[in-house]
Amino acid sequence: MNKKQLAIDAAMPVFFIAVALYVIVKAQGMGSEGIFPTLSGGVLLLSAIYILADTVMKKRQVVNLEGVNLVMVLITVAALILYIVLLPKIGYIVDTFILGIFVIRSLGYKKMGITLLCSGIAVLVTFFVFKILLAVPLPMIFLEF
Amino acid sequence: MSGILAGLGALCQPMTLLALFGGVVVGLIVGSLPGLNDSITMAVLIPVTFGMEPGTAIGLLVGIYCASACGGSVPSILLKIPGTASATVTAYDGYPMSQKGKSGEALGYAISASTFGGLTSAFVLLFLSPFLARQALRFGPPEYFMLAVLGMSTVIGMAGNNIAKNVLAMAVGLVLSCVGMSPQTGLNRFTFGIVNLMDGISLVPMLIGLFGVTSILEVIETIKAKPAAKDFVENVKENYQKVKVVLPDKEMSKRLLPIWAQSSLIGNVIGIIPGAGMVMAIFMAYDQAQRRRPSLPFGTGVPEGIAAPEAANNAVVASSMVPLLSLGVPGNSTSALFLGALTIQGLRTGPTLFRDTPDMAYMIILGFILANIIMLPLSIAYCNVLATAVLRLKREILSGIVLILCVTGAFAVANSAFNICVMLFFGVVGYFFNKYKIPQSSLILASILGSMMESNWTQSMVYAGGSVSVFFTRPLSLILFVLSVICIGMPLINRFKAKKEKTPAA
Repeated sequence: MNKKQLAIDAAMPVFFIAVALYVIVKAQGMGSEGIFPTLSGGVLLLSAIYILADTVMKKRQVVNLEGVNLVMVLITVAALILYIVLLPKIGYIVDTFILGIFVIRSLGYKKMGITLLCSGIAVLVTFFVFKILLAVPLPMIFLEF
Repeated sequence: MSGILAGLGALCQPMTLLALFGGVVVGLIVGSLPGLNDSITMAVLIPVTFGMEPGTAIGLLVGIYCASACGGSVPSILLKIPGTASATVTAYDGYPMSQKGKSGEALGYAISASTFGGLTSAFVLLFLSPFLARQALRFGPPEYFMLAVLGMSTVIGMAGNNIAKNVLAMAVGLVLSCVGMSPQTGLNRFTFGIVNLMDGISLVPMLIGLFGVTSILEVIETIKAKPAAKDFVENVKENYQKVKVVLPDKEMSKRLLPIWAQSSLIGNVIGIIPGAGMVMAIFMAYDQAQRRRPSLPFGTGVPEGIAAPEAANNAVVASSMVPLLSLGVPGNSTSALFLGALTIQGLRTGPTLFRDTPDMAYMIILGFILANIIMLPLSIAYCNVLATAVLRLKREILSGIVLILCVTGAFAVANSAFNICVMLFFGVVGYFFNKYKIPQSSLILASILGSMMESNWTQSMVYAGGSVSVFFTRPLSLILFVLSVICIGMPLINRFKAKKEKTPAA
């Protein structure tokens, strides 16, 4: 196993070791309320250390990123973050419509007309169900009525 | 008996029946679409059930849960592409049979076995849940604490070679359950100053993220990764045969009956145990069927090879609700979704469900029975008429629609964009958990049981003046503790023995 693969495999336990240490340290200032977080963090720490040791010693490949388009995954996550940021600014209908088009297109679907139609119908149906039937206050901004 | 009649009354409401019927149809459709399953569908539909009457909402979810396990067998038999993970083994004999031009028979064996398995588990739920709930009424905080420990122990015990990762996932879940105000004094823990986190992490957006967003990210990661791979829809167009479902005749039913019974038993037992699941049940049932009929050439299109996994996976469905309805402990990820849905409807799971709202408790149980009964004709109609059209739906468009439902549903839970952040966070967590082969079910179970554990631990300590002996001096608590030790210990001992036996041979 090469160093890059080892680093990828070890990243997960290392991350959880850091999380466990943070939880344990933070829980110390909570008095009796910190017992349960300390215990949980302790179990997390021990299991993460065990997995890290197992990964380093056995050097068995855990994560297979071959053929994985990680860039597209990151772009989608970024698009969702952008969606959350834009939601109160441009409203639910426009924001969600754009998100729908983006996902369908980025998944490789070529026909633009059908993409627009499907995204539009999905947004209108969810709008009808949530905003009209369930009275959920979806942020509308431009299209408020 | 009065509870059953009250449940029957609640179930016989026209809207409830309609929702159950619709749920079965939706379940068959999503079950047969690779990439979608019952958990994803239920996660995105739970927010839609907000405005519904409790009976209607639960009817819809019961229908989806029951039918999706059966729907998964359709592409598994016809295309060798399991619609759900629980239909993986069905392809072993279903597809060869389909290649021999016996698709109709294969689907008939799958549907009849699914109905049999589903009905047995619904009756197990009917008889076992109220009994367990009556026992659980005697539980105090120490017993509830030990019950949570037992739930986690079974998950660890069932982990096989994946114990460390199961424990890790569980610990992550426990840490997540600490987020928010503490049960004792209301101290803010790990909220990072975010007001929305003071009530803890909302279960429904978390589940929408883990199921819905994770599945979309997993579809997206495959873009252009396998350019040579044949499109799923093209595969359907090429291979799908016009089928007419043929149910097993009297002679075949007689032949398959012992397999149905054996596999249903396996499925029911596995379903009741928290942490085990459909995948374990189908492999065990298939293995036992092979042992029962050693002369048959399994893997070449044997009816028993279809009947065993299909009876087992549907037998898991209702029986997995036993711990949730009777004890308030979700047995698997899907029953955790039910917990979310019931909570939204103002219903409290556990023994109080039977005491305070017997009509709803029995409505759920009877709903499982009815869903399995109507699943039989609907599955036949679905396979004969609708399946080809459904299987031709474009995955890209479906994913886009699912994501729109995810973000809208997550927002609707508390009318807050923060819940979309929670959904996205858990979508990414779920994605990396899958990459590192860490089980998500343990995370979900622990994040639900964590708060139950902590509050009951605190109450037990107050009750016993800080002495842990309270867990070992009360009989029920002690029994639960012993069961926990057995659940963790037995699989470990068996593994150790197997390793020892293997060593001299090697």
